[in-house]
Amino acid sequence: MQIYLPIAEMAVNPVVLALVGLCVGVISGLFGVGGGFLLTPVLVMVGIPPGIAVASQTPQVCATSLTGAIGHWRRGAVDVRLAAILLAGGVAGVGAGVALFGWLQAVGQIDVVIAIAYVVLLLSVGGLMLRESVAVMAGRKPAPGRGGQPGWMRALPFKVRLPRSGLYISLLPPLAIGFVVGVLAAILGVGGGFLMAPALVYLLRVPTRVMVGTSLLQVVALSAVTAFLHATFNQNLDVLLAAILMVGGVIGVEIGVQLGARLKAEQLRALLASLMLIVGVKVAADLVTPPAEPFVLGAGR
Amino acid sequence: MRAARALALLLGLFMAPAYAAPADGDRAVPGAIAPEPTPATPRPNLTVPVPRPEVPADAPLPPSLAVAVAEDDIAVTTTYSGARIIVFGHINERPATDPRVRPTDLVVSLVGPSDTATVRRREPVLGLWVPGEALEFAAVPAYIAVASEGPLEAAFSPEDLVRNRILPETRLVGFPADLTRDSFPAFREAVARIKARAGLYRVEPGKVRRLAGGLFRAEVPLPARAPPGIYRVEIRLYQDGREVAAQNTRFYVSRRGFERAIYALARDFSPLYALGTVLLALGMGAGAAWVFRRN
Repeated sequence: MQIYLPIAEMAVNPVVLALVGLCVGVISGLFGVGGGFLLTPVLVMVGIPPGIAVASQTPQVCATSLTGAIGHWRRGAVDVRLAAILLAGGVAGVGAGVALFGWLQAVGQIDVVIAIAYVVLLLSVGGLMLRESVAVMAGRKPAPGRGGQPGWMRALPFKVRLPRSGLYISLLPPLAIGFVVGVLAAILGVGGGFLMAPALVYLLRVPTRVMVGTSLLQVVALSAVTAFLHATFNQNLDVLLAAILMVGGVIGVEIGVQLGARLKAEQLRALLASLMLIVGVKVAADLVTPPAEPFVLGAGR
Repeated sequence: MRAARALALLLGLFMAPAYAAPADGDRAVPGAIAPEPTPATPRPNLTVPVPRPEVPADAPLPPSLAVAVAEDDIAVTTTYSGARIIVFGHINERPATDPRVRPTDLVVSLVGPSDTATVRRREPVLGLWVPGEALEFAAVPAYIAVASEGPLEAAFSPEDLVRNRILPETRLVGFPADLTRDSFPAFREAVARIKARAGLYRVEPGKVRRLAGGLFRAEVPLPARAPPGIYRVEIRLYQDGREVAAQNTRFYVSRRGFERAIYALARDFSPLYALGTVLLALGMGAGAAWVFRRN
């Protein structure tokens, strides 16, 4: 059976795509990340044009993160105030990111920028996370998340109290983190969960207990804004493609969460880090090896 | 939007001959453009070819064609997965009694809507393969299928294939300023190659069949990746590599029902479409949390 996608202008097998959504959903439920960093390359592999792939998987990230966030909300593990600050920076970042995306698409460099950003992020964050989680598993306990903020951060103005996280910090660092994650979310089509999580723990010293839920809530809002802006300004979001992915995705998340409950936190982090490194190395290899087809055909102006 | 597309199509029609190889007898200057004289009057009816001087006065009437497509409106519905375009018609020609006269060759081409396109060549910069030199094409048909009775190489010389613009790559239209660029042929070849690999430019030998009584039938595939729009169908009859009769027709590929509604909403009411998409995502996420809630 085939379904014709109205915006992508191609026929696809919906069962295959729903299974792709399911698999990515399992991973996102397992590790508490949106899964965008996997979904975009997989969709491109299936033959979806990259621009449409990036835009059309944002609703999937939104839906699966909401499912996760509601679960954490019930356990009272969401710092709404912190999420709102992150989001304020994030919305500005997404706006800048969508504009940048449109411009890069026009000058034909979007694919390279996406690839380079992926490589840098996946290899650096994946590498750091793998080292840290292996150290924990080996018994050398570095105990992430304790200790205060760096000195320069405490010197910043506009301090706010975040009782749920037990923090009294300046508005500026979370705003900046939100902004950077927002730009990346728009360009890479990732919710930014895999960046937000380490930033919250290692930079802001947010307790791990509230970190995941807060990060997820922020991803929900951010991916909703990203989806809206892509559909409005770049007009490359295929709602049918998004719906098919979401059907698989929300079921996959639940499976992933169940699986995740049987693994230790550091084992999960090591697995996720390995996955990120594999994807990163693959993308890097494609960048440095001479392409089989040196020409790239894009839309005209 | 629609007007712009129509204009591009029209431009494509008129600019296309800029590429045709220089006619016989012209001195082929490398990189030079053979200028097409602008027709002062509308194009003559293609069914009545202008008699050639070498044809003797007592020669039989030139052949003529009558053609039609079986279905001129292809509906793109949710379950659309491509179509087969059936072109049939009649060739009115004197049966060849002289065994020394080569039989005529019939070629049926489908040409999809044209648009501008930019091609970039990836070049190594600091060890990374990034898009470098770019070249913009004025008109690149989204889909081209060339159906013939037998292998094109058997019926036509390489020059005939180019001069008659039979091969897909001869239909790619560049901007005049780019035509003299050294890299132009490589870029044009690349477009044809990429499109061919995607199954969008194809040569289909053996898909045109002659039936009894001067009738013929062509069956040309139209894959689902060929986008909606107006498709030209060009039917050409050649004798010894020269065009002796020509007919054009067209068919439409258009979205219907749900496909049409979604596309129109996404393009004309994009904020509403965007809002709907976000609400769908939030609804599905919340719905899943409700369905799977534990205690």
